[in-house]
Amino acid sequence: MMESWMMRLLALISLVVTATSYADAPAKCRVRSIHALKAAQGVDPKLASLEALFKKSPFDQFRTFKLLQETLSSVALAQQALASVPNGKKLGLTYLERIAAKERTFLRLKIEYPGLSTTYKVGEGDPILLVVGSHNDGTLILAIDCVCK
Amino acid sequence: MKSKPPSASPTVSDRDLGRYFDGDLPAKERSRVEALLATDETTRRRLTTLQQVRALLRESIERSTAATTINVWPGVRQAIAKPPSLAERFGEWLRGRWAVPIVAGAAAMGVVVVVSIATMQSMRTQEDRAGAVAGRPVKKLEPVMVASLEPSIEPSVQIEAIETDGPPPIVMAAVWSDATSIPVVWLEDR
Repeated sequence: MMESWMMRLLALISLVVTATSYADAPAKCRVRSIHALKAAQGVDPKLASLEALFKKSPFDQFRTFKLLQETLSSVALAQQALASVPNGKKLGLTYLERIAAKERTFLRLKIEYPGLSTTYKVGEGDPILLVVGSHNDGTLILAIDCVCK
Repeated sequence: MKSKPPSASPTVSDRDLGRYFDGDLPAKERSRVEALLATDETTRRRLTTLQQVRALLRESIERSTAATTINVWPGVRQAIAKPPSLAERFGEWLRGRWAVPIVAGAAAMGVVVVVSIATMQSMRTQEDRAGAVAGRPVKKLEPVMVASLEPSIEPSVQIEAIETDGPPPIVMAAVWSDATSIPVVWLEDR
């Protein structure tokens, strides 16, 4: 009887410790800089996960999407990571909170770009899209996604 | 038990109207929408609005790729402001639908207008109240996004707050999956 209670207690402690460590784990974030052009060259295979999105409005105005740069970073809770983007500007990414919902995990992120600060609640792995203006005869799109596993 | 808000609910949903506009609606449903368009003035107006905004955006992007500098948003805003009935209609639409699901596809183009109007209104009131912060005008914009096409599905990407010290961004929705859209923040060149 005593042993059974001990086992349950240990299991509970283990669960709490695991959950706590998950909540405090850094987020792994990726910033992809994408060059969108009207010329028909297709979607870069490295952007396959976004291809369906690019076929729909408002991105269907473009016919070429090329990955210019990919920045990976590990961002601790309440910390900021900076990523340089091809237009010479910097993108700030702050990991504010991990939100465990019923069916999936969300992250609260603050994205800062010169002149703009935006707070998002975003599903783990889902992209935040920011179109930041013209770039080399095309348009520069930033796609940001994070996971916290 | 939740009760539905009393409203003259459209016979065709925003989602289906958007899919019709995008050419994504199956033949049977397309016929139904076309029949409705033939008889219902409100539905015709909604569709016209989608067409106008789509045309504005297309024209804007055409110009932006032709020129090195994008300076299209003032034109978009001006065009929005020109026909007051359109702006008024969107104002009414916005007041009635704050924080309700955003429509998909081309219907999302409507969101461009809605959010622009919301943004400008918000900026005016907040600037009036707060003035400049530390010598630099920082504009806090209202949260603008709940991006799901189905009320039962939690949006996968939501904007909770936007602050800007430049021209207000345009926020529009892009279709992410069959059931959800995600917000796209589109900045003019700065």
